[in-house]
Amino acid sequence: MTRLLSAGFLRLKKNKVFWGGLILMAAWGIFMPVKMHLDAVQMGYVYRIEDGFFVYAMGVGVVMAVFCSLFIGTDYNDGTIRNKIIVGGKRSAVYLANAVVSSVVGLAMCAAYLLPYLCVGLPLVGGFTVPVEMVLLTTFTILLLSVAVSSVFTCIAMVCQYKSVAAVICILLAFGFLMTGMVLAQMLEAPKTQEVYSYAINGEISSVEEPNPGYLEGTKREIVQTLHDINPGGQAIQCAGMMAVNPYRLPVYSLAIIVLATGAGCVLFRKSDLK
Amino acid sequence: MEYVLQTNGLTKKYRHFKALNQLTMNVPKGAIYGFVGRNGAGKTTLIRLICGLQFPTSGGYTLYGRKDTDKDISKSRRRVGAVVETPSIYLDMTAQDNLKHQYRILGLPSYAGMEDILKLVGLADTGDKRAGNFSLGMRQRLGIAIALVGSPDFLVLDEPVNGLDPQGIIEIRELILKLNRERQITFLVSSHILDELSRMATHYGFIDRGQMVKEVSAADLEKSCRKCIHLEVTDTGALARVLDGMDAEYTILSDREADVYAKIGVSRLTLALAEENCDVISLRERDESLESYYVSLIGGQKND
Amino acid sequence: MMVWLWSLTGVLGLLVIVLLIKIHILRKAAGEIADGFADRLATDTNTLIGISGRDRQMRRLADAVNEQLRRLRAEHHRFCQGDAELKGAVTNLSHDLRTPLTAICGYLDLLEKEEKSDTTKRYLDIIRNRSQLLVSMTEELFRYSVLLSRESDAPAEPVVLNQVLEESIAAAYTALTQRGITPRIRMPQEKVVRMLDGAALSRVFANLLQNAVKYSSGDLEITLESTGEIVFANTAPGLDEIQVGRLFDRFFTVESARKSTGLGLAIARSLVEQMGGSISAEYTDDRLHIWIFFRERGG
Repeated sequence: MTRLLSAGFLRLKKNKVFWGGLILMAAWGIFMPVKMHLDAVQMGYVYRIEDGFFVYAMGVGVVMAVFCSLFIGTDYNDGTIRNKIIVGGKRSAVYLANAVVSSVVGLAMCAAYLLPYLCVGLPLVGGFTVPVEMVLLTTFTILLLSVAVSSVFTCIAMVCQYKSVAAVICILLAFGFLMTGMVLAQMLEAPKTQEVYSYAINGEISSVEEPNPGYLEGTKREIVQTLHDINPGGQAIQCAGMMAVNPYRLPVYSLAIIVLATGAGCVLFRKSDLK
Repeated sequence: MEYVLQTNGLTKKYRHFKALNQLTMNVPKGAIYGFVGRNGAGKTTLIRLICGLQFPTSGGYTLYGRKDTDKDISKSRRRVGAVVETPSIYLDMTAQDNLKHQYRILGLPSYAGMEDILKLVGLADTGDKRAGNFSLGMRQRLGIAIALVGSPDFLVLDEPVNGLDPQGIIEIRELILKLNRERQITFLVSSHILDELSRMATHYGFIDRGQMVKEVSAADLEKSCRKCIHLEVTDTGALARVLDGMDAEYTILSDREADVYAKIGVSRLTLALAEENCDVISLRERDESLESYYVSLIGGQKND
Repeated sequence: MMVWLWSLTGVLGLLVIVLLIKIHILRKAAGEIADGFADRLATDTNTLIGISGRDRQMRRLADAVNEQLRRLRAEHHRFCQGDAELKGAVTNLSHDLRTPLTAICGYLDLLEKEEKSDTTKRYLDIIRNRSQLLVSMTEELFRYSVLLSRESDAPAEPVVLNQVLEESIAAAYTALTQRGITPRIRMPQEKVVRMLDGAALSRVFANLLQNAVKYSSGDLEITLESTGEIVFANTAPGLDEIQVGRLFDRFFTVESARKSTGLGLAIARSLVEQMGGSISAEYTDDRLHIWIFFRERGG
């Protein structure tokens, strides 16, 4: 498998989508602290460095969807996946090599955001105000998340033998994750009580609160929360806003996604007929 | 006789379509095996199966003595190079980068020999040109170059001259002959252009509707191709009478020309014709073309 | 504080894993070079060695080995091409020789019918003798060239070795007795049967017997064992180890050879090996032993 990895990285070096993605993430990583600093100077907002530190979680999914489907899809469109099989490459080795390359790219995209962000942000905006453990844990969660989405998109691209179809599916899925995440987040954020009406007595305004029917409780809440935790988009939203309810469960779910996606993709690929 | 490839009752079914039906094939070592069949006869399917791209529905094959279900079939596959249907090349990389990629896939320790391969296929000075900008002939040659990176012992070429101009066809043929002669590389070349194959094949396999109709060596084929004598005479009527008397098979082509398919004593015939006042103007021996052999072979198949 | 400690531990752990992987890949590459090298030497293949990992020193080693393999392979190819060219040349030569020889014999026949003096007649007889010899040598050369280009898929039928051997000896009997050789024959009672080409086998025996006729100093012992082993033994003084080793080489003849192309034994070896048997020679106590062995094919 090392040979296939070596070949994959050679291809990666020359891949325009890869470098484009890195530049995009780096630009974003520089833009964020600069904007925060300018806003602070012009309008007096006070930002802390951790406000934008985790935002990239939401972008990684889309970037990886584009990259994985195009990188792996080219192997099918140009027919070059055959070169690997004809000379005796085992199916599982070919799959895993692609999965590893995708995961490395996922991590690289994260690093491409983080490093410029820190380099620019620490001098401009200042140090972290939240506990270091939280920062490390959240960063680790996002890194694992990017590997998880890479493995899902790798699976789709390897099983679907057409580049354009795979690209469409992956991008739709990436946005789908985010949309679902936003919807579930909204559901979970519904307040416990809501104001039904307010009245004034002698100049004093009082309001009557009623329990909000949209508020999730008990098992219902647990289920929705769990779904929100498993959904990569949901994880991204929670991490970006530092609002993770079960911070220690998120990496576990990501790991499970990695194992399942890679396993399923590998099994499907092994038995598939190639053109 | 050592065989590079032997298939055994190979069958491949796609949903409701049987592409290969109990196909047996034997490719001897050192041969240039011409694989002949119509479009859709199953040539590409067979090649896909033996290259490991697809799996047989039933039956199997051995490659260099190893069965396709063996655990270390990849050792045999290491000795194989192939160009299946369209050349497998990265369109957004240069020729050199494409080769380098293949070098890495094989784990070869250095790029030694890369210049030689490019020179051999005639792509030595493509420089920075992306493969997507190559002509069809150049792409075919790059595909072959990639297949040659691993120094294969067995090259499988699926319709290598498809879409090439006459110059390109000649170049590919010369390359195949050269590699076969100088490096003892066994070839399996599929084509539906018989004429081209007949100039280089040492063995033939005729396939129709997923089955091997006949496997024959070039030498044996030449023997069984019906030889015919093309006669130009002054009186074909007399010729017909004489030939009927000799119980020979013939075709009258015009009022002066005829083809005779039987082995007849030329002296006997001329003397007999002289008795009928018929002169023999010219006499030419001709081999039945590979094409008509194929047509009669497959036509016979159709009538089964 | 604890966080930094854990982070450090994590980073060190990661480093250890990376190093372990690197060591594993190095060992794997070394193994691949060793196995690959042995495999390439044993198999007739063009392929070279590939290794896992990109370690520079391992790649240098593999490259050096590959370079030697490449050279070995180039020599092999040169030999094969040279061999093929030689075979082609021999075939062409044997064809080319026949044409003038046919003319010579034709005209000799005509001369026979002419009036001539006794001296002329004597000279003609000698010419005729020599040209007969030339014809037979050309025939042998031609048969050899046919043999070389023939494909080794001649029909194999069950052949009774006892029978073929007896027939061959009977055919050569006159020639043997003329030289004063009485062959001593030992054969088992039961029939020894092998799947062979009968005609080729007769030719092999004929060549070996012819060899004995020419070079034996007076005796000949022929043995057929029930294991499928056949031995031709005769006294042949004046041979040495080196000559015996080269006995089956084409065009090789020993000093005392007369009127021979040196192809007889080479043809015999070709035929025996094409039929899947083995042939060898040994020389002890002034006696030459030629062994032929045909394995019993199972199934």
